[in-house]
Amino acid sequence: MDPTGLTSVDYISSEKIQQHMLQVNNEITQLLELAKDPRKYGELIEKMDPTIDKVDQHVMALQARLTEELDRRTKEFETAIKALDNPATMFGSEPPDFLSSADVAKWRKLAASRGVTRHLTGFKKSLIDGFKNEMSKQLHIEKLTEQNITIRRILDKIRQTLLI
Amino acid sequence: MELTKAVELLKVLKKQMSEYHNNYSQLSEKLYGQHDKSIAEFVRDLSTEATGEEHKERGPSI
Repeated sequence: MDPTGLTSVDYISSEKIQQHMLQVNNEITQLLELAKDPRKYGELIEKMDPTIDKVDQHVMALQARLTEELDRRTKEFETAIKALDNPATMFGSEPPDFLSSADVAKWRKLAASRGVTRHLTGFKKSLIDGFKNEMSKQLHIEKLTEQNITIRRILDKIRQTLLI
Repeated sequence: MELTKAVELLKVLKKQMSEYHNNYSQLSEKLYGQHDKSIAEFVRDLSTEATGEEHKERGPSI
């Protein structure tokens, strides 16, 4: 379990994710409300540090869960093409039915020609890279990762500004 | 002065968090919504997403 108290399973439930996001957003809003009243500056400064920590843990947890899920999918993909690990298992094997026609043709050619290990390794790498690239592109993962980094930079700037 | 600057940064943070949460929600709907799908179905869905249409022939272009 991570410091936010959320588990991997919770991140599969969009309701739990939404609840946690709402809670974090509310805490930032509360700080901005306190900032409107100079009499509440003491309270604002007091609450700033724990809120910043909470936001930090929250975005790190979201990123960790995302990485975990992407790694899980990549491992599944690797398992589905594990015949490529060995010329003996590759010989005469059938390609997984989710490959493109071009990749199916390459697979069959290698399977028929008792492909040498380095050719199999190269083909396996190209399939995995292609899978990761497509996943990243279609799910807009880079954008999300960049936003995560930006948020953590802002948190650092706030800490530096207030020396907390 | 430092507090004013921190509050301005908080406003930027709030905006960024809002965008981040929107994007994450969309992603979680796509990614975790397919948590129980097989890798074959997952790859096909990625491909459908890429082409915007269902593949009639075997396999996506990955």
